Amino acid sequence: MLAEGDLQALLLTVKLASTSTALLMFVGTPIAWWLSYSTSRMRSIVSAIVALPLVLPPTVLGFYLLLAMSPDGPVGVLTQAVGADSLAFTFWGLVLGSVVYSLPFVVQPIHNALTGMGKWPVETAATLGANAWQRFYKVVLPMCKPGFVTAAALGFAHTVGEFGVVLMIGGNIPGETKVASVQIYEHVETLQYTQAHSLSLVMLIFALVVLTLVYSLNGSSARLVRINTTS
Amino acid sequence: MIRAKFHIAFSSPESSHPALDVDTQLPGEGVTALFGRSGAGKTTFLRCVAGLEHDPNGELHIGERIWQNQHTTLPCHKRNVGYVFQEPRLFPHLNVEANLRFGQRSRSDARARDNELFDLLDICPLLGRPIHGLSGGEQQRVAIGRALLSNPEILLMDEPLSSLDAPRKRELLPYLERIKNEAGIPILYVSHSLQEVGRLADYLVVLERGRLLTAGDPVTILNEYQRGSEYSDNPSTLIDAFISSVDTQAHLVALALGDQVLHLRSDQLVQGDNARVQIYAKDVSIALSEAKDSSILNILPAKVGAIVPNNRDGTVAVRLLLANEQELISLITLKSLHRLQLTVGKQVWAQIKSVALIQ
Repeated sequence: MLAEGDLQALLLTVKLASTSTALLMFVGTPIAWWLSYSTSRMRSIVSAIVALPLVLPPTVLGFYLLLAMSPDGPVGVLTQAVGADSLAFTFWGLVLGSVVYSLPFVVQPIHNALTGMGKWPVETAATLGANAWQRFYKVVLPMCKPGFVTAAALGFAHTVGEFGVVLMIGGNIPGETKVASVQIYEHVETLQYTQAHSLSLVMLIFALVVLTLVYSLNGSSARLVRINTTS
Repeated sequence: MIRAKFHIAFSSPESSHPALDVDTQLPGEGVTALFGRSGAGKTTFLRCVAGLEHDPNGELHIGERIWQNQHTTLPCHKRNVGYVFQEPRLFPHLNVEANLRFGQRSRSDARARDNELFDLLDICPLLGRPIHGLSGGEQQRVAIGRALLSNPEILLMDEPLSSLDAPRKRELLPYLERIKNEAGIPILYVSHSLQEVGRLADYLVVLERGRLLTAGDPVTILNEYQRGSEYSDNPSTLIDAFISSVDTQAHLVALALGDQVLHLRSDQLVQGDNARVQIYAKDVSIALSEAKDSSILNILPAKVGAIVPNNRDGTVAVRLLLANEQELISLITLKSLHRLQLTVGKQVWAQIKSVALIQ
């Protein structure tokens, strides 16, 4: 049913989405925390930067990322300094792009959950002797679990659905950067509609399953999903 | 001894807490009540002690231990405090026992002591239960237990009864009295209720707009506060005295007021005990002669010290001086004032209808 290379593209997609989601949770949580509790004037600008991918065409984002990864770009300089090759047209380049592209979908639900929780659990835990790390995993994590689950699911699903950024910075190298969405595009380009059909159906079912799971897992935070998917 | 010096210049945009500017020493034992209207800085004071609010130039010594001075500032989680907030603030994802043990600093060999505490607060039957479904009073009892189980060096209580309705308040007050007697650590108790302060305080600090207005013996200060009836609609007099004799048959004890006594119904107090009683001004009437045919037990000679009419409701607060300089407020009507032709210095009899033991 699936064409040769389709399975490879799907596996690569899952690998990319899992890696990106793990990184996104690491990066997104402190940003959401800072946005929730900081009184800095920088909050608005940081919020805006995080939200950029929501409004920018993925091609614009991909273009700038490509420039950044070029030997003269900031990311390129960095990779050269540690003796690594350029990230452009590589799997890790895609991971970087995905993290930037999906960041608002991860930060927003966590930010909402933290704001909804308020400061009191953290303060109360501190008076009971909990240090910063204990306050996080004994209080914040369990109390904001729906927010974190939503964030991870949205980050994953959004990375799977990525196309424009991938095409700009990854191209379509099989097994390295050719993810499912690019594969579908190629099928259509080459008029292989049957293959495009089957792969698209897999993606459709996947998206439906993920969203259904998120909605049923946290009825209360399903609201967040709605806000984010329409924005 | 507790030394506290805090200056919080203005509230940060995040917190709505008012400014605070105090430099004071507080007793290192018993209950110190922080009293004042809302916005006086009481909560900010507690938050500074706990390390939740930060004054870079603040100073805080708890006995020998330095929690803050110019060189060091212990973060909140390193200060050994027990903090009971206005709301119970129990963690909703944990059951009662997990909440109680959240901050437990003592080791497992202290189990016996834990159980004593659970008994004291009557929370044993609640241990396995989830937080939702507990009544407000039960939740606050668990919150108090949680704070105490962290084995604190000082207990901070921020209006722990304010979120409860009147019956729950009455239900919880005896527990607070037990804590006061059993905890063995200093307690800072924030309240704007004369009732609670009168019942619990050993030392009283009055704050107004972030500054310390007065501090000292609670009975003296509270009586002073209530002198004009403008502060309280239902003024009262507090008296600290010791029990001079006990009549077990009549279930009465006698409180010594100089060479006079005040009778009080009690089965618990024994001779030599100290007691604090409250006498509401509306329960004190005035007679020109000593009534021998009255059912009223406490009739004491007194001299009119001052007359303060309240034009709003036609009542008059009459300050009576008893033989030992003890003052008593009587609330009578303007009509009675004229009928008895009361003037300052006049000798009268104070008829006290009821005396409430509050401590």
